[in-house]
Amino acid sequence: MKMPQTILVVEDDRQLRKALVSTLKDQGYEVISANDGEAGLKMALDVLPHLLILDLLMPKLNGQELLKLLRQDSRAKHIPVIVLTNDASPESIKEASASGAPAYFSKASVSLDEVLEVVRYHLAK
Amino acid sequence: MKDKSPENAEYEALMSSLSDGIMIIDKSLKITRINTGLTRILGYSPKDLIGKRLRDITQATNADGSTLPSIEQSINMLSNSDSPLLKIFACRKKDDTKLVIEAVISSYKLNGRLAGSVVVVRDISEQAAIDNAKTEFVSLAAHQLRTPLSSVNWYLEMLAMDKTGHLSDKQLDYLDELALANQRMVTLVNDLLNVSRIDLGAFAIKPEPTDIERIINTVLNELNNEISTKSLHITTAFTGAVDQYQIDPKLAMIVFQNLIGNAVKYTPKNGSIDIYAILDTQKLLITIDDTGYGIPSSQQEKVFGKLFRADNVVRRDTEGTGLGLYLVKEIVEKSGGTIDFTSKLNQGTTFSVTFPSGGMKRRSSGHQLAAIKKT
Repeated sequence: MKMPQTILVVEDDRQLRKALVSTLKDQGYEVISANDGEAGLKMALDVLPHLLILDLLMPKLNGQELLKLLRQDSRAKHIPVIVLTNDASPESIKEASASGAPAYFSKASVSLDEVLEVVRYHLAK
Repeated sequence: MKDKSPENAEYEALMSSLSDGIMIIDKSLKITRINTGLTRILGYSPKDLIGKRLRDITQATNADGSTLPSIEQSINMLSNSDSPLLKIFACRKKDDTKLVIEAVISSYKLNGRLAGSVVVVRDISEQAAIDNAKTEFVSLAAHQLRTPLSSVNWYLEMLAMDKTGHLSDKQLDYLDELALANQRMVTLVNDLLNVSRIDLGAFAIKPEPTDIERIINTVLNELNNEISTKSLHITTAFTGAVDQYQIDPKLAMIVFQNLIGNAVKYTPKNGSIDIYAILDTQKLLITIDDTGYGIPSSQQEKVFGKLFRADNVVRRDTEGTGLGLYLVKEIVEKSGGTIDFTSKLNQGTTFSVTFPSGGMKRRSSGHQLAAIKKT
């Protein structure tokens, strides 16, 4: 049997984190989560997940910084990252895509179904 | 002038006891007379002011810091009309403290000929500061509301996904209604956030080569349900190189979502909506012409105001934030464009928007406005 693929969710809002974790688990993924950027980075480098779902505005280490540090690590730099945020300023979009985040969504307007679609797309590769 | 008759003495006393500032400006735009109120508000002495032009003394800007036609230009504009002009300016006192003033400018005539202008100046710095604090509060509250609204959206979606057990059609129907209500709240919160950002003068305009036709078609697709339910007839036509026009695509979306959304919402069954975009060497002109309910003529001047909703449509439809056209006008005008409309009750409305042929005016600083996702 194929090993389930691992997804790391880094999101400081408990309710949004729980929604993402449950939905992804229901789809059969192995899901781990962190509630701030520092813990998220540590987990990402320890576990090397197949995919990362990342919030931007977070305590300790924000999503942009996490993304930059992640890309500096040779083992982790290829991990696809989906950014989910309410900070949709052009600067943060540019910064996130410069650091190699392939997908960028505003949480207020994206449905879980759309998130799942992008997750499937990246994990099927 | 040096007449010391009792009437004149009384007049002088009245003038100097006024808390509002008054200045008289002659046809060459030089200040000829001021009262004590004005020296108190601006911090300049009569010696600093008399015989000078205002622009030699202080640089006035719009309340949000953007440049505006100088007071002199406003006065010049006035010479052609008789009704007084009300303007709000930001400027600096002599000691360099910031000041927000409201000026009412009227022309005055002597022997039937234009002699100059009277400017009544009121210091509204305190009100402006309170207003600003309120706007910042709305901005913060709206931003903070988005996370719980996302939560509600996602958990409703999870319930409907069937992973938590099978739901009856009725339960699914109720979940749909909840999702719709929540989506309305998201729209309202985004509108409020955008309005507050605009009022704080803090929104970025980032033009890039954009296909106008594609944006308009995206908006029409979003509205497809309502268009087909009402059997509306839609015509679009595009003339000129509108596929590479320099416009901020997010702002353009907000403008067209509101204008086309209104046309769809306020046009009855079997009506038609014509959308044209024409780019020539002068300008990009976009017209949106509907056969809808129209705007009552008595209310037409309020259309671009905040929270405006016309009487005839409020009776038909209680939805709508009344913020849309305010947003649209601010976006269009701040990016160098114009907006206008004509409307006849029960015949229809035509909105015309123009932008400079070279594209929207860029503004780098400030927040991006939130995209409105309509349901």
